[in-house]
Amino acid sequence: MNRAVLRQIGSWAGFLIVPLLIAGAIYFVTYGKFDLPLIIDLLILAVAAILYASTNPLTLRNQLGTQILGSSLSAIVVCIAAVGIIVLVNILMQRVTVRTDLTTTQQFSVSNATIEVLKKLKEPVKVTVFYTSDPNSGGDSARLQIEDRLKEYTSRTDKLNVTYIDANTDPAKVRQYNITALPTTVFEQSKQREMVTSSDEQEFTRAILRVQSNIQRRVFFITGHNERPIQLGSNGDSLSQAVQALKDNNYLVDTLNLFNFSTSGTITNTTNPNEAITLNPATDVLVFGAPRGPINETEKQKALTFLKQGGKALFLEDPLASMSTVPVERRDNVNDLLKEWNLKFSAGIAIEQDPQRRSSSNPTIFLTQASGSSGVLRNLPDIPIVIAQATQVENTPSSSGSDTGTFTPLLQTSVNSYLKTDIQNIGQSFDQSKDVRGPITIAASFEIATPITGTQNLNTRLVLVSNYLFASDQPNVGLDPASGSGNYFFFLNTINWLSESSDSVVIAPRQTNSHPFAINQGQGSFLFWSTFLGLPALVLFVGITVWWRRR
Amino acid sequence: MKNTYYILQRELYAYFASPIAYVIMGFFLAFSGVLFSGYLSPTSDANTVMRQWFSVSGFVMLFIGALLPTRLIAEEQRTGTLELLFTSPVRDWEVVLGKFLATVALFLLLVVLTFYYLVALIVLGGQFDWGPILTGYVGLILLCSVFFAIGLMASAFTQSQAVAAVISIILSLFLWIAGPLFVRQSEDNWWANTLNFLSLQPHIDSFSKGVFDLRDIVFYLSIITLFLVITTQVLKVRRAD
Repeated sequence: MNRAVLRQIGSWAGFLIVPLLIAGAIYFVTYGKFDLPLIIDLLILAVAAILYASTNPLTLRNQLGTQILGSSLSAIVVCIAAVGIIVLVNILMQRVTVRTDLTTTQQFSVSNATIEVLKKLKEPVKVTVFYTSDPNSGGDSARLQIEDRLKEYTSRTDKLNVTYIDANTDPAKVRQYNITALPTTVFEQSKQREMVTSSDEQEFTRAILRVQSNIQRRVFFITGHNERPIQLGSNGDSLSQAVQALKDNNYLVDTLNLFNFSTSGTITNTTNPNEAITLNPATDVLVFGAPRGPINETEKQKALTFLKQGGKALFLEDPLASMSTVPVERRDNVNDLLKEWNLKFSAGIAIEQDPQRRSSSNPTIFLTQASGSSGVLRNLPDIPIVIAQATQVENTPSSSGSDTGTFTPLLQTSVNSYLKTDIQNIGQSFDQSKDVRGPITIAASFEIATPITGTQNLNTRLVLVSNYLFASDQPNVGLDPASGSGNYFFFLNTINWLSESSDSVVIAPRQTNSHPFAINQGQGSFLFWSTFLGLPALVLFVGITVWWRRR
Repeated sequence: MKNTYYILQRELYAYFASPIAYVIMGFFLAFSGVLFSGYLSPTSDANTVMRQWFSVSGFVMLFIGALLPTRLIAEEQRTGTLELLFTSPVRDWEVVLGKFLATVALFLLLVVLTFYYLVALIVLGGQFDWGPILTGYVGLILLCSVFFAIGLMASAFTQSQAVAAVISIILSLFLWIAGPLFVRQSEDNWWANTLNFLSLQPHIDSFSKGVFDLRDIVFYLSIITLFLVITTQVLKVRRAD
């Protein structure tokens, strides 16, 4: 074999060096192993390099000696170093979460409550997002919203393992999970599974809480005494927003007629008469939503049975329904039930005279600031709670010396307020002989230990709020968080404390910051022409002027 | 930095002395105007209109960003003025940075012109949430700066402006859609994650929503730095050649 042929073979071997180097690098990065294929690749690379160097020594020496080769090699090294540094910086940045949501309503941030829930996650939660990639179904935009939301969550915890599944490419998985709507996000932990079909923060956090807990906390609204409706009513006295708030925060909500409640603690489900459910004093809460009719003796005993076992109840009062002038069949007699613990709602309406603590137009609308160490008030935002037409909540300690429970005022009026006991003459000024000087307790909690029954040692917990309107659909004084009051949080904190799930979180619905404005056809046309032609024409005019002057 | 400033001044002057800048700016504004007015409806929301505009104007800028800087080095190579620059006491990185900043400055002027959209919407009764507007513009400037850095690098590779523009558009397009184009949504491996991360498009989302995420800011700044470093090194090799 002559020298020219050898040199030619060496040149071909030289051409192999770079591809072999790249192939080896890709293999190592992909598989992360130094095994046989990589060893063979490196061996061939070494042989090729030796062959090239030995058969083309002059070419090699000449190339290594030129300035261009030196500069090129130096440039390659600098570029590789730059890539390395940049990759490193970006990898490190992935471990840091520095985000600022500049939208007014913090639309793209998760609430502190959610962050707390995520921090407390001990076991991994599997999150599977089923979506459709079909552009005609608008699935892409919905999936993106879910993805955005989940990014917020995964940036706060490494306990969420998120997988995206295209329903069109993996129908078997869709059948396995029994998915009926797209997109659907499935949260799983051990045997618990929760499905969410929106990208709402409340829904996601609620699902995470649910999969962590095997307990379903329930709230039953008592019916049968003309209580305030839980469906949206036309006159604003309904409690539909309260019901929605409970559902949004992980509660199962139902109505309960005390008449059907058996002494064994089992009731007939009102929504499904064939299904009997048992009240659990540890987790179930009864809500007396301002009844406008008497609770009879049998019902009272049934309620007492539940409460004395360590049950919980929220009493929402309507002071106007307990007035002596109201016919007996429409009069509220909740005080008969509360007498068991020396509690009562006083007759009258509180009047606030401190302008800082009331509505400027109405002295019976209180802007109260919760303060105190009660569990009900824990983590409440620093915004006023609006209570309208409230009366006094009283606790008269028993003289018998037995355990009378703990009565804790939650909301109070100022020292400049008073309780007008004669509601008929509410417009008249303070009457020292009949009226009561402030501060007036208008909401209170009560807790008393119950005898140990079975394995549970439960406390009876009651919360009394002297006007139901704070939890109603009434604008400005009701539950709506958009009104800017703290009623929503106070209500949910109350229920959380009652159901002994004080670790539960309250997430207010996110307000949208949309301000639509009308554009007529003329304005639309003006905008189109001015942006499409006007601005570009202006720029071109300036350009032509410059060119003309330079010419 | 004084040399960088002189080069910036010189390049800005060159931009405004030639018709190319005005034509490109006019082209962008016309396109952008069509997109903007396309998002208006009889019951528009000013924030939504601007968010949608921010999302797509970045794509329009991909082409403008590829065209604007291509003359910067390619033209100097073609006319031979690059040799003069090499013999003057200016460092390579000063040349690159000056030219890059000149293009960014020109783009800032373009951005100021688009404030007309905001004024028009306010006059018609629109109400703005200013946070997302601020982040939207910052995101747009960062994204376009990436395109400018790519354009500048392409310009350093060749004497032909047309070739530089093609290289720049192809590279920018690849970076824009790399993830969505080559990776299926459910794919979860290092290759998919890297491609998704390298895509420019997902990183602009947080800005147009009104969120400043340090990771996205660092990502854009990294890409800009990388291409400027490569451009500097290409110039170094050319100087040695």
